Amino acid sequence: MILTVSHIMKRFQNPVLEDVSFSVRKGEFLVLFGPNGCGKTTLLHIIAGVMQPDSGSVRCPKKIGFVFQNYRDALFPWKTNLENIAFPLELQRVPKQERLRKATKLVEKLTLSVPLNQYPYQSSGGEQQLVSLLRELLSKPDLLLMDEPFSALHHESRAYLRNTVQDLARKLKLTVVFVTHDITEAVQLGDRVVLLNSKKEVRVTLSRAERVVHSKAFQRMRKKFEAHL
Amino acid sequence: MKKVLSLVLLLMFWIFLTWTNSVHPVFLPPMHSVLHALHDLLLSSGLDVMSTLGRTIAGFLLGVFIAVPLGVFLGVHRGLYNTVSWYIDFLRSVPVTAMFPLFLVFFGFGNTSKIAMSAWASGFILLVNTINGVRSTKLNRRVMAQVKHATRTQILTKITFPETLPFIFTGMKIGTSWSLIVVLVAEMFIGTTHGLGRRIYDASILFDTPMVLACIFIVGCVGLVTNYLLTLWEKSVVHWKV
Repeated sequence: MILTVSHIMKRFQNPVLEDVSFSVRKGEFLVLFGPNGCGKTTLLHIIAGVMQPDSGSVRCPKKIGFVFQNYRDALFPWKTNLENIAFPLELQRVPKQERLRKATKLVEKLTLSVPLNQYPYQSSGGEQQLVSLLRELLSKPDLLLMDEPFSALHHESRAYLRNTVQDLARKLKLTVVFVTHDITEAVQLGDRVVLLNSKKEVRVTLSRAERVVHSKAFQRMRKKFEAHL
Repeated sequence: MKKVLSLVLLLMFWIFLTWTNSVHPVFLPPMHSVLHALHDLLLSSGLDVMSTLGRTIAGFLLGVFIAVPLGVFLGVHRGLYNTVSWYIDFLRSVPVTAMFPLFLVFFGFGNTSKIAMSAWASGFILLVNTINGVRSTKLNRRVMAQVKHATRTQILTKITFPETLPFIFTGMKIGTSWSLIVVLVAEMFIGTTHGLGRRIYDASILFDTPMVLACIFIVGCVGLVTNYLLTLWEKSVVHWKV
């Protein structure tokens, strides 16, 4: 297991997380599903190590990527999109020319269309979130945490990015913990879905071809999923 | 175009009032006498302009160099800020003019006291702006860097400081005005051999209104040019906010 979360408890004024446990295999796409305010973001912060649980433990790899819901607050508006993508290498003190070259190479390798020389505020929401994602991918994380990354985007960008993430996860064999409160998103993307409120798990047994909203298999899976809510 | 037209109308109104003797020249002197005073001032009082400008810039820069690092430090160390915020709020509420005697005691009658007062005035504005800037930085950016094992210095220099820049620029724009105001008042009331404040004070004692207006015009130009240059700099550095 690449990630093991054991009996996590966290409370602020009220209990937010109560005895949460799950584990993730290498290369698995796990979706954490729950309504707003059920502690999904808190759980990701605990996994990322930027917040301590009241009790319980987390065993996770050192190299973690984090994609946020609010891409505007996560990107640096004083850097171009290319410089934003290259930021993890800047922290590793890689010389500027080299890190920009590596960032460009990554974008070309993944054949994605990103306005690299624009600033984030000159780009669309979808492009900005794609830049956030590419920034995390550049450091080749062992575990990618995604906190409702598409919920602030309009429908078209959301659908495009959902497909992009699905493709990238397979192509790069990413291990992903993806937080959402959108059933369609959970069923389309996840290999397994953990329902945070009821602490149940649903295994998504859909082939890649079936992971389209209009397929019968998808609708059956969705109904099975809803039965657990 | 509208700006030029409004200026022309204003000047014509001025000429009309003085030409018809509607206003006593002590209150509103004829335009030609003000232009004459301005000519004299520019020819003979370059040292006055340079002295005032020099003190303003020195005081302002001193304020920047002290207040910005201190503001970043206090903004990052919230516990310490909560302890000392009361002192900051108290000291920034006291008009620097009320503290003239203390500055004179500590720094004497020379340039040092005027520069120190100017630094005090602009420094507190910059300090409060910088602290607010640091405190309003986005959590997500820091979390992202922490997850990538960034050092505290890296977070401070690569994230917190650039994110605070819009607040620092706002502080600098207000701070320069205050530096200039305090230097002028200090030149008037503490006294100096050269300086626009001293010129205004001397002219006002002699009821030399044309010279007073000429000095005010120069001071206004200094303020306007400073603000314009700072705005240009701000646009190039903080392009995402302007």
